[in-house]
Amino acid sequence: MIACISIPFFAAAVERRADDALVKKPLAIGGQPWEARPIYAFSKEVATMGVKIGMSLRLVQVLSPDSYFMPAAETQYSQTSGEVIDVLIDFSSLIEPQELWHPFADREQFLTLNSFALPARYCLDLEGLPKQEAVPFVQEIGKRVRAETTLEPTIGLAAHKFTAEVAASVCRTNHAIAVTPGEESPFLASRPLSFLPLEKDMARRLRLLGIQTLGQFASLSLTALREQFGPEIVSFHCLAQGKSGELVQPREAVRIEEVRYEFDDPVGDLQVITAVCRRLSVELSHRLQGAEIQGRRLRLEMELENGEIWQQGIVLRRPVFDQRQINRVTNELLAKKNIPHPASNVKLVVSDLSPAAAQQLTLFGQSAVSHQAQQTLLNLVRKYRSDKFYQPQPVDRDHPLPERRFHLQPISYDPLMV
Amino acid sequence: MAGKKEKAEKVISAIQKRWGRRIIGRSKGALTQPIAHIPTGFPQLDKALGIGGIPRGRISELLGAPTSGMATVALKIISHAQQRGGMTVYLDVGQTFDPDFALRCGVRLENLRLIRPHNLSQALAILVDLIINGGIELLIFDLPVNLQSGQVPAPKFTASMGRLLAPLSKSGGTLIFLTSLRPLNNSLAAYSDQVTLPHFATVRLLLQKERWLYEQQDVRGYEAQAWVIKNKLARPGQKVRFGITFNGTVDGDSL
Repeated sequence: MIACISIPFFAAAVERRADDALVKKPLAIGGQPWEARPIYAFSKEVATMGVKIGMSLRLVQVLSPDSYFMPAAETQYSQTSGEVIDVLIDFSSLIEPQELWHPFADREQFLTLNSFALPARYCLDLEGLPKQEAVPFVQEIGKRVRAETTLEPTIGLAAHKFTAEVAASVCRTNHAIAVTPGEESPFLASRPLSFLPLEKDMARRLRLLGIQTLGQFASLSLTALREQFGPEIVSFHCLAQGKSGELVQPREAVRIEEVRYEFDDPVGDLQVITAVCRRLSVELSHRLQGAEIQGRRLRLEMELENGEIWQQGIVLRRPVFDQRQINRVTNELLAKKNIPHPASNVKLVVSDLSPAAAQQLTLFGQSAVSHQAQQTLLNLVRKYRSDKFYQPQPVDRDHPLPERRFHLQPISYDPLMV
Repeated sequence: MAGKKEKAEKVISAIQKRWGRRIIGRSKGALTQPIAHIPTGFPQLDKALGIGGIPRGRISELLGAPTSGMATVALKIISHAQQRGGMTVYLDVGQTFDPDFALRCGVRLENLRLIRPHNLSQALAILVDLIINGGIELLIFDLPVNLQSGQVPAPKFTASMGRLLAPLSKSGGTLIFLTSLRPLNNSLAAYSDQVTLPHFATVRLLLQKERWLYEQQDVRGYEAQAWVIKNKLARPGQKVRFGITFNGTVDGDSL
């Protein structure tokens, strides 16, 4: 079973949680009413006035003149979303966050499904838990989310992700809808077609054909649909029939290690900063070695006296954990760019972490000439594209057809290798 | 006599003073040093070449019609060049490279890079880039019969070849052109007049199939003849016959 926990009007809910005075007000988030940029998020009261995602703030002002306009606090929304995930992770490690309020999310894709709700949504894979046990389980999830974040979730429970998402979208807050396996099709039949993430043109053509609900769409002949709309319609047809086999795609947390040094007074002397970086390199190296990990991305950050952030980063060819290597890289980063103002603190961050592994020493190592040739070749791949450069690789030496015994693997350009 | 020698010494010292000491040198000892080379894998052919194989740091050319042994000799040269551990590259303009046959010739495919450019002009540009940047142990340029002329203007080809000589000499890399001749006219008469490669090549080898070798009515290989038609480092004009047999692997046997 798959549970979908949705928090409708997430941004507005977060704002109201932070300030009780906003509870009764219709909220329009994203800027001021005289601005032409699109609205970021809004509350339920504004949605009832006909406001939709993508409308300009000026138009929102016209449609809902009583709205309280305010800027978006994206950091706060991210933190709150993290709080929700922290609660959910106690129940399942397979969580797919779909933070639709996030500015980087593909809003066009979800416009049809949530054009008025704009929630933060999290899909949990309950890994074969039967419905009888899943229902009390998701009720417990809802209670914990409400208790620990004071947000009001809606929960959908179904065998498939799409059905669970629809169930969560149509559910009342603080309630759950469970769809019994096998009854997805009747449940979806009366729902509007706008739940499907169709392309604009495809949705328009279906609307012109008089297709309004998922049930009407599901009853159409797949062959005729494919001829009219192409092969991409097949997956939507499966979704409408409640047959989707789409899996929950858990997002892996980005793990980083960082060390920090705060100056009592801002320091502009490069020698002092270099000495501090050396000390941070040692500390970071000890930490990495203690956890038996190594990192490939290094970033040096400084908060300057005037409030600006100075930062330089590098992606290394091989992951490092040795203090000398980290210190050398840090010195290179320092030398790359001038520090215009005294720094209040220094932060050294390593990411792209992987378990520390022993490295095989090559007894017959590549000579400098060979390395140069490899580099030349990669540059040529970049220049002429990889469809001309191949590495022959054996596939099946005993295949009766000689051309099937080998495969020509294109050499791809990897900037890290150069 | 002594006066002539003194005069010559004076002229030489004047030239050296003006253009540098290395502008004129004595040839004494130069020819006694062994010339760096890559063995072909066929002992008779190595002997005929005079220096023990195909010279390093220079341009060579193998000519022949299909089934003349040209590709086999080239692949054998690759397998010997790979023993030094350097990178070998096969520029396959005609897209005829066969990995299975290469492996049977002893080529280690993991050390071979295959480049298949779209046309001869692009191949020439890639060739120049590869050679000038250095680091390539051996580069085989497979030039199919239908692309030898027309796609690249002769002056451009000549200019490209001229640019390659110094980097090749410096890096010690070897460049071998495989020039296909037309199957029904396996002679130099079929060679395009516009191609200036013969001028730049140090060694030119013409390969021809002499006869098939049978073993109880089954073909076990063929006898090829190699004719050294140009050799700047040893006596040219040598002709040698050798057998190429297929027995799971491709071998170069003495007849």
